[in-house]
This record gives sequence, C-alpha cells and structure tokens, in this order.
Amino acid sequence: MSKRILLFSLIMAFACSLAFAADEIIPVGSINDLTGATSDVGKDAALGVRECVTYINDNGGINGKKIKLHLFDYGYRVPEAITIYKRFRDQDKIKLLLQWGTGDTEALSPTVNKDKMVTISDSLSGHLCDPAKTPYNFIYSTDYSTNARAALTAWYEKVWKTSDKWKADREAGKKPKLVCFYMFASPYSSAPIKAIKDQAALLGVEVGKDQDVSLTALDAKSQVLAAKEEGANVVWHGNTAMSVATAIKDSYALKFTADNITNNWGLDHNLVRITGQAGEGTIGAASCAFLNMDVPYMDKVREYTQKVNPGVPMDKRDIRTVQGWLKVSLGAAGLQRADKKGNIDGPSLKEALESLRDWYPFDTKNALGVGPYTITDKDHRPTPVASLYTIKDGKIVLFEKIDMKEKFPEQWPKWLGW
Amino acid sequence: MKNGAVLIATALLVSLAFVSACMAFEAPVITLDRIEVASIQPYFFKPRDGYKNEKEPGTVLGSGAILNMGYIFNIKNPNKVPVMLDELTFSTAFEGFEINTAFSYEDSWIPPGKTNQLKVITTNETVPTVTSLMVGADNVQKMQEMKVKAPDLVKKWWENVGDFSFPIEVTAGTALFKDEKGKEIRVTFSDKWPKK
Repeated sequence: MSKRILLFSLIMAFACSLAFAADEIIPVGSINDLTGATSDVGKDAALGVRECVTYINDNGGINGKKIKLHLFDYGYRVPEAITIYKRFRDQDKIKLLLQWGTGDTEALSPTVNKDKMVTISDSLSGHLCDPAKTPYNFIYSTDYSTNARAALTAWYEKVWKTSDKWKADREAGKKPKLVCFYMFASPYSSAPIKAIKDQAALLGVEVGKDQDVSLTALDAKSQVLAAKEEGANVVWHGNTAMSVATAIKDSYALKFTADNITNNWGLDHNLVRITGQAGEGTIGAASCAFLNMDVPYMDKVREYTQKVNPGVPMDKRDIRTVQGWLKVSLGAAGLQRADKKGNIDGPSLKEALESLRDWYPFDTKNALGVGPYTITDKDHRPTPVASLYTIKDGKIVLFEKIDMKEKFPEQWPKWLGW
Repeated sequence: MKNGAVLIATALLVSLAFVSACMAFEAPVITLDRIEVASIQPYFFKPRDGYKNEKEPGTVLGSGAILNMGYIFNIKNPNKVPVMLDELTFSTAFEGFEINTAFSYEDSWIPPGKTNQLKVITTNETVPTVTSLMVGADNVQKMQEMKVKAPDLVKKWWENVGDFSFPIEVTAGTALFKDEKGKEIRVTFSDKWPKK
C-alpha cells in the first residue's frame, strides 16, 4: 500500500508541476521601426513578428512554454534602441532579442556580444555574419553583400551577356558599367557597397561614381542625369522601396535606359504599384517568398494576418510579414533545441542555432520559400542561395536562384564578414 | 482499512498543498513594479541627421518638438468571472495618416461586470513624423492629392491638435484577454475622435 501512496503522491506532484509549466513563459524582446525612416516596411514586419509568435503559442509554444513577446518601436533611432535593449535585458529578462535596422544592430553588437545575448536581426548586413567577430549576432536570410553580388552576377550573365538591348555594346567590346544609388549616411544602404564593387571587378564590370540618394527622396533627377552622363548600363539601388521607386521613375522620365537591380528592401508590391511601366524588368533580391505566393506554410501566414490583425487591410501586407515569420521561426527553432537540453541562456541558444543543419522553417521543406539553412560556429550566413525576383507584366516572378558558394567556391569563404 | 484512511489523508494533504500553491490569496500589497524610459532623444540642442561621432556630426536639423497623446479606453468585462488584459496594441492616425503605434503590456484584472479605464500615452515627434509621412507609399500619394507637403501638414497638426479640428483615429486595435484558467480571447477595436 505504501507504494500506492508513493505513486499517488508522485502523480499529484507531477500534476502540480504541469500546472506550473503551463504558466512558464519565455520572454522575447523585439525592437521595430513603426514611426521612423523605414516604417514603410517596418510596420508590416512587426505585424508578422507578432502573428508568428501567436501561431507558435497556439501550437504548443516552445515545448509547452509560451513566448511572451515584448515589441517596441524605436523610430529608427539608435539611442532609443539602446535604451529599449537595456530594459529588455534588465527588466523583462528576455532570452532572445529580435532587431531591425543595420544602424541599431551594429551599434548594439558590442553590447549584446558582451552580454551573451543572442539577437536575430532584419539587418542582413554581412558584417554581422562572422562569429569570430560577432558570435551572438544571427541573420535569417542571405546577407546584403551576397544579395548584391548575386544580383549583379545574375544581371551580368542573364541580361548583359544575352539580351538584344545590349547587343551592340557587347559586340563593340564595351565593358558594362555599374553605378550605385544609395544613401551614403545610412548603414543599411552602404553595407554592401564594398562587396558589389568587388564583385564588379571579379566580373569585369566597370564602376561609375556613387550617387547619394536619400531614403526619403522624392526627387532623384540630378543623380539619374549624372549616371546617364557616365553611360551606366546597370544601377544598384541600395535603399528601401519608396526611394528606389523615385529613382526608377525619374530614370524612366529622363530616358535613362540602364537596368535596375535592388537589394531585398527595395523590391515589393509597393514598388510595382508606384513605378508601373518604369519598374518593368527590375531585378531584386528577396529574403523569402512573397505573401501571395503558393509555398508551404504561406496559408498559415495569411490565416494569422486575419486572426491577429484583422483591422489591417490585406493590400497593406506584403513580403515583410513573411520575413517576420522567418525571423521568429528561426529564433523558435533555437529556443526549442536549447530548452530540450534543459536550459535557455545565451550560450545554449547560440549553440542550438549553430547546430542547425539543412533546416527549414517549421521543419517543413521549402516553407516560406526558403531553405535549407545551415549555421555553424564558424559561419553565420544561413544560406549561400540568393533568391532573385523580377517585375514582369506588373507581377513579381522568380528570376533566378543563384548558389553563390557553388558558383564561386574559392571566394565564398573569403567573403565572410564583408 | 487503515491503509485506505492513510491514502485518503495523503491525497487530501497533497491536494490541499496543490490548491494552496495554485490559488494562494493574500491581502493585496501595492509596490512599484518598475520605472521606464518611455522615450528618449539623443542630447543635442538641435537634432541632427546622419550623426556618427563628434568629428562627423551630420546635418543640424531644425528643432524638433514632442507631442504626447493620451488615449483613454473603457474596457468593460461583461463576464461573470474576472478577466485579465494581457496586452493591447493599436495604431493612431491623424487625418487618415497613420503616425504611431502604441503598446500596453501591463497585466490588468477587470472584475466581473465592471469597466476599467486604461490610458495609453504615445509620443510623437515632428522630425520622425515628417520622415514617416515621406516614406509611406500611400502617404505620399495622399499628400499629392491634398497638394500639401509633409512638414506643412505636421505643422498644422501640432498647431491645431488641441482643438481636435481634424479627425484622430484609433486603428487596427487588438487586445489579448485571459481568464483565470489561462483561456485566451483576442478582441479587435477601432474608433475615432471627435466622435462626430
């Protein structure tokens, strides 16, 4: 009988422990831009973060523990981001930090690495991918430098070398010329410039004078005329969609016929809508599939836009929502693995993320249009495969997936941290 | 029989411990939870754009101004059990232009059948408000239709907000409530001021 008593006591104790486990939470902090210079894309991304957290909590959380999301706006101002981070660290005791811009992510990098706080950022700056320098910084997609190299390479091989548009120049033995449009003072915009110029040299593409275009530009005519004067064949647009749209529309109006390639924050359905005919043929990187595309898990993403934020019209939702899901799903994969080992802290979460091999979001092949990802303690670039899309007949369609590691096996290791 | 009595007694004791652990109730004590920096600007006499360090101070902008708005909500609990407001978020729009998003994460229990009031403060600043108007695709188009530039529009808001002479909206509001068993319900809301 004493065994039965012991067994009964154990069952009750277990039930009691379960009751407490159900109340256990994992605090996660998210710093977003909802009012600043990148709020045009930042709002959509923040909605995606919250919706993905809700989805995960609705489906068992992190091994039964719910994520408690603390999401705040920093208005794209670095001092505000630093203050929010201190609050997250000291008061909310977060286990994982989600960040937004290149400026705040790079500014906070020494602090989060000193604090051993794992952070996953929407800043896909290549500078944050070398764990020898920034061991606690992670990104969720191809980095900006890889995007820039891939976009230029794809344009060079599939447009410059094959299209009728440039046939006369090719046959005349002319070298193609690249000009970069970006905001010099913006850490995001300037992050991949060194890399794309290096890639230009590798491909034999000449480089013209950089043009300073503000993130809030409503007029880029003088920059367009300068690039036209130089005889540029392709323009790299390093800003966000509104500014990119301004430059592309002004190019069209001034009959500047260079092709347009852009970073991932430059290409979305706003760009298509605003540029119209002028935007046709633009090639841009994308971190994942677009919200309207038919890939695994996109139905869940769309379902949760309506479940959590039904007041936000669907025509205001785009790829940035999906990026929010991708960022959270990567963080959740790390949290689940670290928790299963019994402890979530900075080093264990870092180790869990660095153990991901051939990983897909939600462990579903091609979920959200990405993967497979492999992250190691030597290289935080999750994938060498850049997804490039183009605007064709007013629609965004896949242009090419280009594996930069396979294409440039000797250079790929050296590009780490660019 | 004796063993049965021991079993029942043990079960009662363990159950009591379980219930008391889960439902301990003591006299409420009020303490300060925390103090937060709600909003901070870098210390400059005038705000700057593109500041890196003292050698590269960027461009000095005109002085910015802060506008803190209080949004007060009535939150009615129509249930016969208390519910907890877990989190609440909403966007704010001046004249149809979305200018801010607010959050409230503080837990707040509402007794059955009662109505609580919650005030959420938002901080708006002239420089980022102008900037955000200029990067939003819909905003730019709308300002072009209104034939107004972003700084002029924001200046008008700052000078007339006290009269509420233009519509202020609460949009895309969403709140998460929980009951004592942890069951969740999500509520959406939107409204405008002045009401007419």
